[in-house]
Amino acid sequence: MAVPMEKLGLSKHEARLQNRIDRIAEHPVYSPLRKPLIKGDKTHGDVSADISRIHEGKAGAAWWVAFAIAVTFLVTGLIAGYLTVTIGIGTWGLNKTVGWAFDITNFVFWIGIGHAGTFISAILYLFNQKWRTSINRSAEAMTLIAVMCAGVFPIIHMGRPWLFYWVLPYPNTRGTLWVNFRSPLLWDFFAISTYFTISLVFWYLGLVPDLATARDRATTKWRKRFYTILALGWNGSNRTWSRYETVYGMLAALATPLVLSVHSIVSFDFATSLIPGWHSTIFPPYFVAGAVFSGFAMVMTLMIVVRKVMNLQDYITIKHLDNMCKVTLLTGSIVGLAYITELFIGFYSGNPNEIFMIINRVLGPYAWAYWIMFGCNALIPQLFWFKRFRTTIPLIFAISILVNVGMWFERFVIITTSLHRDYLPSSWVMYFPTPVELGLLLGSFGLFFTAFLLFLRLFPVISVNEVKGVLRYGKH
Amino acid sequence: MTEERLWRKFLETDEHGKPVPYKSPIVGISRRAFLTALGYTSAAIGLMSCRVPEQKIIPQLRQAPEQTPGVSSWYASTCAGCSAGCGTLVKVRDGRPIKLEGNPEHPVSKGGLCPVAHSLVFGLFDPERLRKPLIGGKEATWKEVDEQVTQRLTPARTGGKIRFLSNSVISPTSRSVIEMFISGNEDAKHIVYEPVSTSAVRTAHKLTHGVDATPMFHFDKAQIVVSFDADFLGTWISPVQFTREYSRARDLKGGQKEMLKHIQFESRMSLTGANADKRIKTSAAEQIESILYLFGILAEKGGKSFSVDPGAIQTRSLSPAMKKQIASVAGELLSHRGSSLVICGSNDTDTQQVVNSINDILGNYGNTIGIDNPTLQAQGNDREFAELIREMNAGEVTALFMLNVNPVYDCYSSEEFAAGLKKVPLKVSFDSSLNETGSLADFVCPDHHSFEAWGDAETLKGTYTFNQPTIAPLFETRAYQESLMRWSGDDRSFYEVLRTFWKENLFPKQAKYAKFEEFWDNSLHDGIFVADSGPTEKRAEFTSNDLDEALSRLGKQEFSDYSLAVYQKTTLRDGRFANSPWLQELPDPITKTAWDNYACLSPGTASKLDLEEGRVVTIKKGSKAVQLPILIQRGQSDDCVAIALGYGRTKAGKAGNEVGANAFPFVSFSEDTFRYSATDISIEPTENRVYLAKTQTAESTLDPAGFKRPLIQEYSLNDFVNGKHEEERAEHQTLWHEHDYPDHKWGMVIDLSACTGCNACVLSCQAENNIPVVGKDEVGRRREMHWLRIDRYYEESGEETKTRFQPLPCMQCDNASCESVCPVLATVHSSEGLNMQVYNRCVGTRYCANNCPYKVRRFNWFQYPHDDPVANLALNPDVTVRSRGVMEKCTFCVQRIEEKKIIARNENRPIADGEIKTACQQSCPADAIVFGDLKDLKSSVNQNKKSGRDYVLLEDLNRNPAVSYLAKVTNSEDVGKEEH
Repeated sequence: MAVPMEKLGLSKHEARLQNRIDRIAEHPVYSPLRKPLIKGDKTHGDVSADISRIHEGKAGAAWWVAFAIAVTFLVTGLIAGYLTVTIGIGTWGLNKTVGWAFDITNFVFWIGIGHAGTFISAILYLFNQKWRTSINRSAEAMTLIAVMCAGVFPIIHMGRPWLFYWVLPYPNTRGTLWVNFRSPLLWDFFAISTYFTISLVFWYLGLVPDLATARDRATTKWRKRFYTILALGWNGSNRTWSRYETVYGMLAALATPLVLSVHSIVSFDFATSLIPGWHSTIFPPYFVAGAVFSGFAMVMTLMIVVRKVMNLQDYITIKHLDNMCKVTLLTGSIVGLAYITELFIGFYSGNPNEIFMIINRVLGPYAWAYWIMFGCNALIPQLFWFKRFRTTIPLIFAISILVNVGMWFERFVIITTSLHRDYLPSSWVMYFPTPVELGLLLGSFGLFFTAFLLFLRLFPVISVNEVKGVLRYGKH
Repeated sequence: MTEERLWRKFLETDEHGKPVPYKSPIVGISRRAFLTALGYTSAAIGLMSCRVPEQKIIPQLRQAPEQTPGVSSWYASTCAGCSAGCGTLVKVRDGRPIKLEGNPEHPVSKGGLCPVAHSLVFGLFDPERLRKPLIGGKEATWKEVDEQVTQRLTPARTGGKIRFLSNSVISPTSRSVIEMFISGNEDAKHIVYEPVSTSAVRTAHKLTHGVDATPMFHFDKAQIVVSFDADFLGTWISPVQFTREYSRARDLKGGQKEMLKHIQFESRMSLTGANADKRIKTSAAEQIESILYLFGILAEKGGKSFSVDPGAIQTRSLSPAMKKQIASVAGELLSHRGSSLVICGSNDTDTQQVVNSINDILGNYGNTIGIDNPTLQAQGNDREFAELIREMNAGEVTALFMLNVNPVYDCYSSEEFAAGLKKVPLKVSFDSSLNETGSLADFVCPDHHSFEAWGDAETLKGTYTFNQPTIAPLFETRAYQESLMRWSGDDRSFYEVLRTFWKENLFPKQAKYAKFEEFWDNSLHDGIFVADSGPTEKRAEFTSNDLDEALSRLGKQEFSDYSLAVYQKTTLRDGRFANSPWLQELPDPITKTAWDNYACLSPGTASKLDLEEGRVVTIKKGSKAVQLPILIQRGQSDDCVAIALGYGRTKAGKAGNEVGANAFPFVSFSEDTFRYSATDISIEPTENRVYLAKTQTAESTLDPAGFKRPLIQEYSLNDFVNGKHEEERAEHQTLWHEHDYPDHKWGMVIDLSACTGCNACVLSCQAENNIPVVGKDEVGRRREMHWLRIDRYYEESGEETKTRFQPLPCMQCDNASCESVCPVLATVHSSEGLNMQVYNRCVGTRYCANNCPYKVRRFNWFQYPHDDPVANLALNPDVTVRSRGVMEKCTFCVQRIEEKKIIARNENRPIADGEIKTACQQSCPADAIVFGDLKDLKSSVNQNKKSGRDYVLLEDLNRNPAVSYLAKVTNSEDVGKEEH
């Protein structure tokens, strides 16, 4: 600002204009209707500096502590996985009647977590929700990592995981023996691999301008080389920007149906079977709502920590959390409605097996799991009707964690309580997890946080270029 | 050689004395086809010679004439599992006996087997069998054994008592060898000892009929059977034979309108009681008084005069309701004179005398009870055994030979026996593995396994069967008969002795064959010889001389709050085969518990004592105590504590050691017989709690929400005769394409009315299909691998507990829910209606098992070991041994289907109905399983499916299974009233 106009070689007229712009910038006038999304009157340079600082600077003690814990969890999971693969599925608590429990619970749980990223980046983008810019990058990263965590389980839950590629419909020499297109597990494979691919491309594409910023700011040789390769020769020209935004919009449109399809298809694993408690037409919408619900809760959990530890309170504001709480409230209410519908339909069907399934779920030996699920998912998020709960960070944090506890139990309830007492009482059993299964659950969290912490140290955690675009939001 | 057989005898020769060559199933090749084949073969061989052969194989120099690699032979033989001596067919594949099946032509057992018989295959290949004789516990050679035994026998023969202790020897030739061995001595005796004895039946008949024999019970000739605690379908005397006859008398598959009625009085819940049309729960006191009361009524109304006054009979503990029930039973019995049968499982001579009197009043002797032609099963003589213990402890016995007995483990006073044994200078055991008794012997001279040995058997007097060797001895064992002969200076082989015995004793008893060779060959081929009945023996007449005393003794019996009943499980029986993991893992049909014994208490008693299932209690009787977990058994009398025998072995082997606790110490000896019940016992809870390896924990079809699931359909005989079962079956729509079955469509019908739940099919399936044993912990984790299971449900109506069994193989659904969900097509539908499981394609997602409404799929949770080279010989080479991580299940014995298809194709004929028998079906002593081709409209399975009694399990799911059930029909009026 202090640069004399003359040195810029502007004409008098131009200098006068510039002065007026600068004055406005120095004394901003705020809209009485809209509050700015980014606090602290950031300039473009501030944004680049604030966000790049996280991955350019040294990791703080907090990061190292978190990383050490995450890696410990991951190693626990690796040991559990090693035992599973070398000894057999017998190391788990499954039995002749309950063939899936923790494994598929974890799978569906992580797939669900993976829903918020694409929802935020694609659907909110299409609906022009500008507040998404502060959280979409890390939400998308979370999606990718969660899908990776999820992907481990269908492989490791197989009796012979080294043959997992037989599920892939690749050309081979086995003649007519191919995959079974009637199996929902195969649909799962298509749905998840498509979702992962689109999410990865979408995330990476959004990252390219920021990678160029990182490249331009890089001071060391290796850092420069790393970001140069990843930035794909981004030059920031008008043409580049224009094409970028076209592709981004198209990808957003492509990704949007996937948000709905992935969890619908995952729900087919259960809905198309004939086990009471699985065989239910409500499952696709119910699963999608649940997935967005749990995904947003996980984004909130992560963002509350990140904004505090990485000092990003100006970028991820109470307003962002408030908005996410509202989405959580909506989806949580849909989930609650689905629970009640399920209870109603169970009795309304008049089918004794269905009625028994409902009674067994609500009052049977796993009733505690049902009530954890019901309380955490259907009741607790109702607190978000109150503004105080949407704006008090410790409360949001606690509720967001409870929601994910509840969502994990939802999958556990659906899978285990339906299986353990189905048609023939002679085969009724109880299921209890073993330490190996708990280790795998812990390990999946270890993988998730390890990868997320690495992400924080490698890439801009907030979309620099998109935040710059909303800096003036709420200003005249 | 008069007719075609599936099996051939060992060393069979034709009329020229030449070995009979294997008859190839490939027949009917024309000269032209032969020349064509010859041409092709010559050309092929010529082309092959163009290449330098890289490897050389050496063919077997002399191919055994009976062996064709890959083709099984069947040999008729006799089961050595217990003294019942059922007829068997031994399947020999590539020189190895791998499977036992019932011989339907056996005159006594008439086909079917029990679980113990199946486990014999495992026993043959038990790696823990003795491989050499032992002297003082160290391996020795037979020469050393012979020298030393002969040396030490000489002083023993003079002055002392020589005792030969064995279980029931049903082989007449072996009996003659034993006789011969002991005959040269001053005081020598053959004592027959059965740890679970029915000797009271014999002693009572000695008193009432003057015949010291167990009569033959003919259930098939009876219209009403009243049993007091006799577990005749499970363990009593000859269960397979009885089950066969019982189920024939109750069979409704041929449109019969009548069936045998079965009434059971019992205090514990036995397999037999579970099958009864009417089961009357009694306390120990009520049990005896019921018999007395029944006798009283019959003596009064039966038209026979007795010296006793029936009015004087004590019936203190009988309630008026119970008296009314007994009176109605008496009425029914009286209306079926000569076609009724009253039996009692008690080993008390007095009680058996009363039962004999009842049967005599009813005129059953000569009709349903054959006393003139008695059985030679169950020859145990308790009094002589007790006398032996006394003699041993007095130091009178100088030599003791023990064959197939283990008194140190299973006698009523094992300390006394062991102490006495120490005083015997020469102790020889013939056990094939080192058990509790054998390990105290000076010499252990391992006998052949019955599959390796020659022998014969006479279970019914005058009916002789063979025991053929089907494999050369695996180890350095020797037939005990030969050992005995060596020690008395006879160098013949037992085979020679057997032939001589038959030549001298049995050949004259027939007129059909003039030459002995001819007679021998034909008998061996048939596996059976029935002697021409000589002049009918004088009919044994009933006398009631000792009845007064018996009645007065019975009336004076005192009972305490709790009475103990020790019983045999149908699986482990007396514990002789405790080292068979197959038997150990086979769940008890009633308690559904494997790998353990336990103290069964009624629910009322358990809640009164505040005990939960699995709580360890100490059961005490005087100085004898045993610690066992509690099992809550419905339908049991409140005063009854029931404990299974056969557990708690200490030297059975890897599988049998320290499983459960030994209940034999509770057996007592009194008034010349062993007693399997005790009063004045105490139950002391401990703090410990253990789990029981149960394969089924939910006990009722009534779910906790109060809905009774229609899994078992049931009619009373009246409703059945009146056609109530012939309701219209609903037709279901389906969205699936119907499968096309061009040639066959295999189907099965299981008659719930016939099935007794005995479990023989489960073990037959296990043996046939190489199903692994997983051990107690894994069964406790509900991961047992049995492809076929028998579900057991209780239905409580008032005081009565009804037990219903339902065998469940894979249903082979047309609309199979397993097939659609497998991502890799590892389970697919065959063109013959089978759900095929492709083991090498399976990746183990377990989705199929989750989606199976019948829960018949089994997953290989671990790599179950098959690493013992000896034990592996028992594997069926026709069935893949599954590896870790794959799903497996019943395939309707597809290997058997294919075998018969190939034979039929080679003979250019269609498969006959009933030609293919699945392993479960073959083994079923009750004929409850019918298997066949549903495309063949005349097939028996099709006829049964159309019978109206047929129903499908979980019909509303429209899986359209190939297995269906015939509804249970109960010969009782109060059945099905509430349901229909």
